[in-house]
Amino acid sequence: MYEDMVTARLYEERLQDEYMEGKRPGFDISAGDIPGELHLAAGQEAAAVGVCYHLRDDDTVTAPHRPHHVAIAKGVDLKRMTAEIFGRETGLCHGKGGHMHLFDPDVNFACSGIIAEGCPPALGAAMAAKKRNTDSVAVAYLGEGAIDQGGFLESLNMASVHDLPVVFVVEDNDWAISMPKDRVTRPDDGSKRADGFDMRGVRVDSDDARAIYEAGGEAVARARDGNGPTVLEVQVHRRMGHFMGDPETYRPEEDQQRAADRDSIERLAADMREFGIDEAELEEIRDRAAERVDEAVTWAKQQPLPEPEAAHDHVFTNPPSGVTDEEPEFPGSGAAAGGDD
Amino acid sequence: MSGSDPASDSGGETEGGGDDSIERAGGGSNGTDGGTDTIETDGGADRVPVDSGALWPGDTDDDVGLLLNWFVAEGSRVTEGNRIAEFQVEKVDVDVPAPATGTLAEIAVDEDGEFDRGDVLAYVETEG
Amino acid sequence: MSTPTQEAVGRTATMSDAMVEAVAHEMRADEEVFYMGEDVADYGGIFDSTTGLLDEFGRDRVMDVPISETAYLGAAVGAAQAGMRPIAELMFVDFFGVAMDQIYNQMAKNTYMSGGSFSVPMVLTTAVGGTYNDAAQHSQTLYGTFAHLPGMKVVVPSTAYDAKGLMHNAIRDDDPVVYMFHKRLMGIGWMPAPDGPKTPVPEEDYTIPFGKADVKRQGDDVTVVTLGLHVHRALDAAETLADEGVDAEVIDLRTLKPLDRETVLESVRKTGRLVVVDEDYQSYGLTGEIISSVAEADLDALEAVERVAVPDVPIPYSRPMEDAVIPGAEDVAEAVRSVGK
Repeated sequence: MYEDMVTARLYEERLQDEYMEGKRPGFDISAGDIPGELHLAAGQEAAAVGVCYHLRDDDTVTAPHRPHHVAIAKGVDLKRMTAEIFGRETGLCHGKGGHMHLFDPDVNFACSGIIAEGCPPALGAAMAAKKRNTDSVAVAYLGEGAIDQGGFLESLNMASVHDLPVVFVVEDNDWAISMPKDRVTRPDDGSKRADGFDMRGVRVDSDDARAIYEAGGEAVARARDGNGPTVLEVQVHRRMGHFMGDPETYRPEEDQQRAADRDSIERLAADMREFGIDEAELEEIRDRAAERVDEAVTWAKQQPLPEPEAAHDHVFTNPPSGVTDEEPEFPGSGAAAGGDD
Repeated sequence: MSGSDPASDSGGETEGGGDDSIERAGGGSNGTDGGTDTIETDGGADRVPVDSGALWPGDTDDDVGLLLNWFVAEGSRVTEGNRIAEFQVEKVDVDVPAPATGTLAEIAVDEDGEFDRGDVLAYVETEG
Repeated sequence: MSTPTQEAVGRTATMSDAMVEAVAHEMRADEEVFYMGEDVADYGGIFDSTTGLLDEFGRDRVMDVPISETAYLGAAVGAAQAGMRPIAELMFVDFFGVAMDQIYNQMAKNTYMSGGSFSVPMVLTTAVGGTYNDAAQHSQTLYGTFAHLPGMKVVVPSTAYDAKGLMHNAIRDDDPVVYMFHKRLMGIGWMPAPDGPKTPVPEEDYTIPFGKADVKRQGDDVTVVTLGLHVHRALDAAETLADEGVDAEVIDLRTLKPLDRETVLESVRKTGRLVVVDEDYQSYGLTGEIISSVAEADLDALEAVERVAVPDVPIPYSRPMEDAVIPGAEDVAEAVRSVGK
């Protein structure tokens, strides 16, 4: 768990550096090796690992536009994910998706750049598990801003009605881009949304990795055992802007400072020391994570860019004609040529 | 970070930098109301520099800016306080107001030009 | 009222400045005008569409809203029907899916369904377009989608001067107007605009009528019809072509609904050659509409025709592929060469 969190943090910090390459002094979003938007999740790692630690490869996770920490915790191939972020041909999606649209069927991971959009597909994955009598579960990640979307509320009702093995993890980082939660959302505790749909809602008031691990374990176990869905809201902290390029001029200094001061990774390290894990061992974990991140980025940057004409691939799975090129001929069944006299 | 002295060559690294080197008061640190030191020119009119240092956003570590837009052309009339340009530092856009009423005599940093904190962006000539 | 000429003006403005100026003017003139959207208050609009409005008008008239497009776009419809003049912003046009029912089953149809007894005097502002590697869910223009559905007036400015006049007209119009602004044209610090959109803009208010295309460049040899960002790409192409001895006329549609077919037809009668350039998907869209309008009205006027648009694939993330599907100036020039002179 600690290793995944450290990996995710180092990964975001490294991506931030890579992203800024070629974007100074004038920040041009379309310049550099990683163009486009980049939403980083530094400060939200605990919400990812605390829940995903309880998941298997056959469990489904849908992540929103800020997906890297969740992808790492779910075991998405880090090298191919990085290559995708760099827009390379060997990336998870052959360069078609980019950082908000990471898909890895090996570990049943998908993303959407449109908030709350992962909720209905998570229902579907849970439905499939239920119909097939497997004990797989589905987890939909979303931000606290997204709980105001109809798609989320509709999904809660349906999950409750059908008693689906699904967990909705709400990462509450207090900000919907520039809008503080208290200006756009009631009630303050998003897990209370569950009450209205007659399902379980839990809020973890801090980004303490152990507390989230407990709550996440319980929610996943309930789903796996056929005891129904849960809304699990977790208080996290956004250590960076909504997207790289966000000057955060709307955000009070003290709020940024609070996010910077509260470091769930440091807290977990302190806990581990209390449990007798020595510094050398922690250091070893950190080194291993750093090496893994460096290896992924180095590999990704060596990968080829896609050919321009590759843009036309993958619109469909089957050819445009569908599964057949031929129409059968049944004598007498075709419309007779010409009208009736 | 320190409120270091602004680079003393005026617009040296930017295209179209002013070529007559002019003594500038170093108003590089944040919050000072720099940018209104006047320089006598031979025309009898005063040339008021547009000092980027005085406009620098307070919470940035970056000492390099990028000129995004000029909204008035050289030779145009400008009114003190009205926006004449904007530049960007560390993703923050900064409006540039005219330091005095008069004529925009010279643009020292062109659009898309990079400049250092404290560089003069332009000169406004006031009626003598 | 007479429209002041651009040339008589001493100052230039970016397209976002011009839009905001028009909005602010109308808000001062009419207390019933208010602006609603995500991140429109403290942030000033993700794409600088509301910079400074909060300071002047306060939270009651410049409203940050929950991320609930169905609710607040539907609320705009209701407020408009109650006689107010709301401006509601859909942050990216790509997000239309979560609220299209309010947009096209209510906003667009209520006047008609009520037999004219209700008006819906609102403006729906929305950011469109790609070119900065934001991938399939954040890069579309969807011009054709909105223009296809009856009951909405659809506006696409390409310069600051046009943006201001069209915004004044949009707010004063008693019908729903979809005001689609291209992110690349706004003059945002982190997304550098081409040189064209920043133009002289008169200080006073003025209106530009809908359904009046603007000939952005006169020419005798070939007619290029386009809109939005591609006005500037077409003008770049025209410069290149001029060196080759080809004199291209560039028509900026400015509004899609109503559509100025007459100006297009007049130009084609002069040149005999038509190239239509669009940043939307090719099939069933704008390019086909323009060409069929000309063909229907005067087939003999048409000697050669070519269209340049996004092929029927979602917008890919990686730079080489995005560049391949979004038409560039060279693609336009190539199409002009292919229709001959």
